[in-house]
Amino acid sequence: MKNKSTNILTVVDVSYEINDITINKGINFNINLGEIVSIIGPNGSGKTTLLRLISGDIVPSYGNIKFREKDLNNYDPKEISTMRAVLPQNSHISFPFTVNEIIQMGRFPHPENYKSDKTIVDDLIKTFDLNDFLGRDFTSLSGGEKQRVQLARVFAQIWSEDSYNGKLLVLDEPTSFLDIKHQLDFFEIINDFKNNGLTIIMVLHDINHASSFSDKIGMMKKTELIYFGDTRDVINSQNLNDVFDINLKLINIDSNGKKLIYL
Amino acid sequence: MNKKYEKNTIIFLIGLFLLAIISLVSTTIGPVKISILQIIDILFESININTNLSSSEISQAFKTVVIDIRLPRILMGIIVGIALGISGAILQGLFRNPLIDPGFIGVSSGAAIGAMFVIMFSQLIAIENNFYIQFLLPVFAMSGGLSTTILVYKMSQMSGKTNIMAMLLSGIAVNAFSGSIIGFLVYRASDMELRSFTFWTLGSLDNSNWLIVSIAIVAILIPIIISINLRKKLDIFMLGDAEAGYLGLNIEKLKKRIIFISALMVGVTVAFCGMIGFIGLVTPHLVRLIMGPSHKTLIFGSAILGAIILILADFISRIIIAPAQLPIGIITSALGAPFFLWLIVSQKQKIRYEK
Repeated sequence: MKNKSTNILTVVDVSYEINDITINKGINFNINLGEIVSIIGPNGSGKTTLLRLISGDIVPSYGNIKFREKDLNNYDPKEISTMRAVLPQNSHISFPFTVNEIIQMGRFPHPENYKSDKTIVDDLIKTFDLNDFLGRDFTSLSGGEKQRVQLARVFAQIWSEDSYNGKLLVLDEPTSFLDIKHQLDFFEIINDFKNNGLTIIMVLHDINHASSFSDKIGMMKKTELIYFGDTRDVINSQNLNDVFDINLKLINIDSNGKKLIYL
Repeated sequence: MNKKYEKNTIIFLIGLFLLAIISLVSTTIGPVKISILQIIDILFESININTNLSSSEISQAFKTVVIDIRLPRILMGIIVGIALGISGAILQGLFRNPLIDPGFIGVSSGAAIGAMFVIMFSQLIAIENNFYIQFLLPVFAMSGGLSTTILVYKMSQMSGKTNIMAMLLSGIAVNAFSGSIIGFLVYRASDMELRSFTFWTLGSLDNSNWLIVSIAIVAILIPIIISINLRKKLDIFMLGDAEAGYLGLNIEKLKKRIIFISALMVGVTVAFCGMIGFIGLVTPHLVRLIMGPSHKTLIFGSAILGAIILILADFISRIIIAPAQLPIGIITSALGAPFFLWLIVSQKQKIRYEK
């Protein structure tokens, strides 16, 4: 095992243009092993495109991205699929697969093993509170239920028996359809995985969630990542007002410097 | 392995059993009545086993009718049913749309141009020998079908990726353009040519003989094996292009394979048997209703059910106005079209349910 770096993802001078329109411009940041990083910013600021670049779905026009010290382009799709899973913003499935079948699909990159796959799927069904939907047709579920099934699927993809060191999860608005209970459950779940070494980068809309549950925060505005750093350094009313063009106040809720937005 | 697996195996076995029974019964029908027992005797005799279940002397004429006329016809029906069923299943998977018919990739309309060309051209240069027409027509139909499919595929390429929506639209456009070419040829055609062409478009298993059956088996064997191997990948593909890519699936390779193996399978059936509609559309749907949407059961199930439906349609086409026979395409469309309407109505309700 290489031990020299704690770095899992390095983004250097990345820009993305399509049809002469710039969507991401001059983006630089690093993510360390086992960190939870949230990206926030107004609509159309380029958050989803940044996640797609990190996921290798699209290739940067300029600059480069390194995952585990190797250029993202040099990975074989099969090779990377066991180390990194991605939850896109919304997925549409037109055929009536069951909840079990969808979660099971997360095991596709791994050699088939009926017994261990079943254990993993059963475990994730419990974790994401999906017991009532076993065998149910996916297309008949509500938005939040679908989101929990898709979350279970991406966790099945990077499932590990011991440590999640070196594994990366990329989530685009993972809580957008969840009710408050399942939102909080979700943050508890990712925190457990983080404690086992998992690294997570996600786009969130709720600034309170981002500031409460992430180690680092990136703020995007008009194609650029204008602030990136430790949560307590970045979250302040001046930065937020700058990024979102609004006037909001923060209130301190504890002595650790944790802040809550006051609307 | 588990209960679901056992249940699926039983359904497959029932399907294969039904196919065998229907094929046998269908073999008895025709101007000469031959009993099932006599047919079994003849079949076993042809592989040098003496069964004599019918306990009667079977004439050489009966043997010729069964071995050289009815058997190749039934086998051709099974092959065509398998090819149409599988290509319908994998193309509906490719478009992630249960309302897709193999005609959407342009193969049938291209084949029709090829066929019409041969029908008119052979009259023009006075090819009297039926053999040439029998040989040239499949070759031209096949080339026409593959060319239009390649055209549709090329049109859907956008910066190195296959755009499914663009493919659907270019398929419709290419079909419309082919329609105008066919229209022009039909306008210029003589009554005789028109009649041959019309019969060709209605589909038929009449030309089946052992040579054609052998060619068809060789041509569709590899596509069948490839399709069955794609079953797990096609399930993953249902999650969406990006999602499947994140799971390590090479989606461009998958799309290319599906298009070309289904073009090959449909091309072979159209070349030898003309246009037989609705089987590719309806069969996968019925299998999904019985066994669920997973391609692990869908591809194999569509192969068996496609063959059953085709043999049944052929059976009906031979008895409904006996001693004459109706073109098989009329039967499949007459049964398929009402089913398609039902599909649209039930799908409409489902879309509302899905919100």
